[in-house]
Amino acid sequence: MNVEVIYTTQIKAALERASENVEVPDGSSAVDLLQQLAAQHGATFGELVFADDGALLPALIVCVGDAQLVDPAARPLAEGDVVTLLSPISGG
Amino acid sequence: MREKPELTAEERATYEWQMWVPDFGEAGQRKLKAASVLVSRCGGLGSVVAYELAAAGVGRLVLAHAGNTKPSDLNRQLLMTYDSLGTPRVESAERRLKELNPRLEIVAVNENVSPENAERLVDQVDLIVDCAPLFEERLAMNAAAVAQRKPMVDCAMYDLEAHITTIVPGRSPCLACLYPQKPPAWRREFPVFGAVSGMVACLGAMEAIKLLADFGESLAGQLITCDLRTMTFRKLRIERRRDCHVCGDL
Repeated sequence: MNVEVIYTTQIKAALERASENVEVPDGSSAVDLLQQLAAQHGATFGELVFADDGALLPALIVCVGDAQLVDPAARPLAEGDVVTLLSPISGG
Repeated sequence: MREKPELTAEERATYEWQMWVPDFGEAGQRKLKAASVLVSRCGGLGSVVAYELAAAGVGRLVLAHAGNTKPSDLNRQLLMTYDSLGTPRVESAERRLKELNPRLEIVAVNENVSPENAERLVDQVDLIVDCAPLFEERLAMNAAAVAQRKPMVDCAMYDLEAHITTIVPGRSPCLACLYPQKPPAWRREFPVFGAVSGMVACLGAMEAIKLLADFGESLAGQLITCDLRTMTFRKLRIERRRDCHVCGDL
């Protein structure tokens, strides 16, 4: 199935792109999608998404459509889902 | 919040246009006059937040920002001036705000928020606007705001993008729900334009005004993202963490 991934802030800067469409196996969760993207994009992406122990960084906000996923591993994605990755940002 | 004081003739003349706003009126203006707000750092975000709150007639501002004005502040920190280079930022901020609104009471604190002073600073106000760059100070302020059940408007920016949400303890996610730990990849210095910080600061100031005067709908439970490269604005629903170590028991 095909999903769209929207990148923001630091992730967008690191990948030099704002979005992409990705083919993932049916039944994939958002975490499965992110692992696939880490394998594709390498350490630049992986360091902004996963901790050293391989767990998802707790400060990464993952949304499907217009709603945050509290547990991105729990819910299977659906064809056409739009997954947004909000990397943490701050003031200054 | 203190008892709602009467407006003077000068205040009625100054705030005439905004008192025409439906659901606000003179009652709302009196609520702002009685209100106090902590603005954590008067940088690109906090300068404009403080300026808008001063213009709107908030009675008392507590400004917390350590250090002296540097040349690299002047692209966005609109309360700092060329003449203030090398002098304390809070002094320049206080002077500029008093030029606009001499009735405003200002408590200028030449410190950044920290775990040591957060409780004391939050205790002095009705509402907090978080404009700080370091997650340590933001999370300390969040913990104090949640402990004292005070709302906090949270503004952030990067490049041409910005985020804003409003934290109402017990009703919306707190900052520790969103960021349970300091993000390892975050850097204190980052690309940004003053027009981006000014834009999100105006949204933050309006959130604060609505909460203080009790009208409109707040962003509690929602996060606005903006990307000014494409002029894309989105409103996302955000969730509390039941196991949040700061607000999970509320």
